[in-house]
Amino acid sequence: MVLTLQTKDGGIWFKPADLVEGRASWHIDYGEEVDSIELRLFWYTSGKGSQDVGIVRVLRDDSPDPSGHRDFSIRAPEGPYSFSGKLITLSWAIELVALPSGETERLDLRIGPQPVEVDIA
Amino acid sequence: MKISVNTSSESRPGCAGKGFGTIFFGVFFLMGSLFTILIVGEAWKQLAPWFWSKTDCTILSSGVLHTSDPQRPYRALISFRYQADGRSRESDQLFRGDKGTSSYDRARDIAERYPEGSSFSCRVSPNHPSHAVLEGRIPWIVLVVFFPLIFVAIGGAGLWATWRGDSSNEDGGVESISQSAASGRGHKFMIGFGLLFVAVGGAAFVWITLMPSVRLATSMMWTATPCTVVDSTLRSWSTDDGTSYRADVLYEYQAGGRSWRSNRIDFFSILNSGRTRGRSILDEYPDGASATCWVDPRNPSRSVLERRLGPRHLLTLIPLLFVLAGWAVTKHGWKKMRSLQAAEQHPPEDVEAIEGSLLLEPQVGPVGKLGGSLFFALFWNGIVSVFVFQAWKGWQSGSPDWFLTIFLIPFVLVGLFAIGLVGYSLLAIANPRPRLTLTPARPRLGEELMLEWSFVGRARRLASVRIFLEGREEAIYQRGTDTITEREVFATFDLVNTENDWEIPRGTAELLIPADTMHSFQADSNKIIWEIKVEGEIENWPDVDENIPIDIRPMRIGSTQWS
Repeated sequence: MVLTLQTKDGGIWFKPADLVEGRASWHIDYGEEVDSIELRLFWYTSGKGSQDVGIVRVLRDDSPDPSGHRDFSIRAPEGPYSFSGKLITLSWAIELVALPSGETERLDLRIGPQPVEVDIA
Repeated sequence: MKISVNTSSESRPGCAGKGFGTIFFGVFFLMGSLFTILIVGEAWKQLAPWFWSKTDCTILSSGVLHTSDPQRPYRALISFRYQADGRSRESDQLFRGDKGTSSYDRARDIAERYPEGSSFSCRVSPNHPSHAVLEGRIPWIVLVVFFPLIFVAIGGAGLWATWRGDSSNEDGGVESISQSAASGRGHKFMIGFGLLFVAVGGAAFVWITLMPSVRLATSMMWTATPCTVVDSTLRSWSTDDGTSYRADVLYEYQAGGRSWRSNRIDFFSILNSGRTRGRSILDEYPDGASATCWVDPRNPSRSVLERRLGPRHLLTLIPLLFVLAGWAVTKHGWKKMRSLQAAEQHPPEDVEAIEGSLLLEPQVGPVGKLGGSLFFALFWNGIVSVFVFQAWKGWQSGSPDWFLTIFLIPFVLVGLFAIGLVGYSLLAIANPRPRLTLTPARPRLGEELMLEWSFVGRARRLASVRIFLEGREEAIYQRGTDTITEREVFATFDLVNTENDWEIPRGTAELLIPADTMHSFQADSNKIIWEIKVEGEIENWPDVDENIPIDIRPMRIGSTQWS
């Protein structure tokens, strides 16, 4: 299976309320079982603390063609900003996940007022 | 929506970890399975007579047998005769697995249900005609199977988590970070676990608290009747945790034209266990003592020795804690489940900043701090004092236990510190209390906030005051069985820092919150916390020290970016 994620113009920085636009493509090999394809916009933490994950938007295609693509457009939320501290790093990403196998393609994003993550370290 | 997961994609166990995980969770799984099989086997044993053939039987004798089992000292002994396999046979099995009861009343009631010479139908095993019982019983023991099943589930889930890494990602592909959160498995488990707590706690509450309370209320209509203690014994038996004790007072009374016996001391029998409580009951009701018992005039077989309620009865409310804890876990899981569903249906909604003013309240006030320190001091010193008493007894008897004495020193020092903390908190109650008003109530990054302060109480005692805004990271993680919280301050902004008498009592401060910092953020294990801190120095007295969290929102959308 081949999963591909691409944002419009290849950008990965989005200000709050910007539209995160792009295209999700897939090619399902013969014999592979795929019930649905999900696109998830979420944040996740890394660092010292146990990992927290917050999914803010899910788009689902319940009957995907063996080979196809879908354009997506999701408004970036007000927060939390992508940031990095001494204990916590918060990152944003979109994932394209084939279910039930869980095969995944991920694209890391930055959401915040500036192109770089907020640095509080 | 914030969802916590315990493992990150990078934290797969290595070989040693897998070995340890397999043994650890394997023991859980095997022991749980073993107990599940034993319980199901016992339940089936009790259920089997329902499928046996029915036949007529005649009661030969009926009475209460005093057994040698201290846990179940009474048994309804009912002998009966029946015909099976072409011959006359006898049995005294009331039901399969009958081992007796701790309640004389229960054994007596059963015995009186089967008077001598009467005829009933009994159940005979088709394979073993010598096995016959008078009653088929509902195998309630099957309900206990949920406990070992929890071990089976934990063991099974642990084994799966230990080994799943082998099969996934064999092609080196990307592993989903969002999958565990999106599946909602953790939330479903949380809801199921919480509901199990509610069910078990609720059942225990009904059995331990509600039913005895209703019986106690009903007994207020019962009649005072003279009774005599015929046997007063402290029964004891070995358990995994040592020896268990229960007072057993068998008494006799006259009612309804005949003599009755009972061993019901009060309706909360669960509180009559323990050596000390048992001894005090026996002291009150020794062999041959005359007492007053309370008898139901409508059914003289029902009686009780005591109808008093005391502080110890509050212990029967403990199951409610399980219900509340279970409910809280269920509610938390449900809330997270709903937010996950919402992510599929709606785009995220931004939280509006509140433009009005907000009177800030400290999370824990001076009375709360006193309560907390008092609770800790009592709890800590209560436990330590038991060991200190043992050490002191050794010194008194002339054979001091040096190891115990030296071992106790740090614990006693902590106890003394806790007592000192109580005194400190008590004095701090008399401190002037800050009164802070924040405008706007939920300020945004890059915007100005205004803080008005004043003090309730004698502000003149304050030699200096510092009020500042502090931002910190807070990360929670597990190390072994410990939950560790680490904090790191990343920003401090002074609002006021003065020693001027005329500035201290009241004033206003303004602050432009920098745009290039992080707004408030709350997840289960990771947080960005902003707090207004008030530090006031009082000479020769505990200082004022208050922390009040505030919510700083992200920048206004469309506002000027960082400079």
